[in-house]
Amino acid sequence: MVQYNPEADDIELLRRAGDGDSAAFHALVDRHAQRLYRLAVSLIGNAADAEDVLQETFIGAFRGLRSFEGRASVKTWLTRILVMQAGQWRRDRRRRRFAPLGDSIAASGPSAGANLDVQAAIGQLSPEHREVLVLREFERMSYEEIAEALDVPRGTVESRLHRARSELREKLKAYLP
Amino acid sequence: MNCPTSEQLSAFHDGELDEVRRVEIEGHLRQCPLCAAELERLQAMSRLLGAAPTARLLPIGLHRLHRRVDQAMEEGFLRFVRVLNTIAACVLIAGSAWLMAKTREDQTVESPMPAVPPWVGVDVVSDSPSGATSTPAAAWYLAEDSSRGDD
Repeated sequence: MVQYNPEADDIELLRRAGDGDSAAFHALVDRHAQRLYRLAVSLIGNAADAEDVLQETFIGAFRGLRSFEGRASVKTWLTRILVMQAGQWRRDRRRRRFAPLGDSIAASGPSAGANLDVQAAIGQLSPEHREVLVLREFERMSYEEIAEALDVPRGTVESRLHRARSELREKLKAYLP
Repeated sequence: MNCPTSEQLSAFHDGELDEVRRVEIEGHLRQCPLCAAELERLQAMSRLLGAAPTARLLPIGLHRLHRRVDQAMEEGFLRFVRVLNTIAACVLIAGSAWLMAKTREDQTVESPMPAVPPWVGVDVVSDSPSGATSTPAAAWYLAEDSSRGDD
């Protein structure tokens, strides 16, 4: 039985894309678009800008195909590009305030209020704390992967995550034991 | 053992501790209600975050993404062609300049233009009935022409 290995497939697609196979790059887009879009929305706070950041992420990845050295996984490499693009977006639009997620996430039912409060609370975190919290809680990335994606030491991930959780717990205490 | 730090408890919650440390903290949690309550709060927050709805890229958004990637690929190709064109133009200009310089050099050093044409000073007998004297060059052409006529 053939073992399915997404990472090996990612690297193969990346290699073929580097050799000029545009279909391979589109396949890579299909594989990672949803995950990266979800991450972009969590980092940016609104769907329209998240889509722009997602597009810039894949364009950046395409232009930097040769820069992929294989030290990190393709998933981590793409995440890193997206985090950098989100940082660029923040610098470009520093005047804008974080917009709560309203147009991209349908909040309904009895927990709708809690969901909106969660999104608003995440949006109020500093970018550094938000990045590390989203990568851990939503993307389930390991500390090592987060450290690679953010280009910071593992110890920094631990301390930022701890502070992010403390801050978030304070903001969401109405929903916690 | 003493109570673990909040960071250690956070790492325990995330499954990021080594085996030895993990077993230590597990033992401590059975005896310490404060740390057990702290861990419960961490778990509750993860559950709360996990229950939040997630954004989904709509098919039209995915289509826009693919189209934008295609544009970028096209731009990359056109940029490559422009670079090739620039290199080709540079090579052409440099080659032309070199050829011109070389031709000029050959003309001045190796085969200077004679100041006087070779036929100057050669006596040519005119065969025209009128006996008019033509130029040496004209005489040469006439001779060539008549020899072709004899064939």
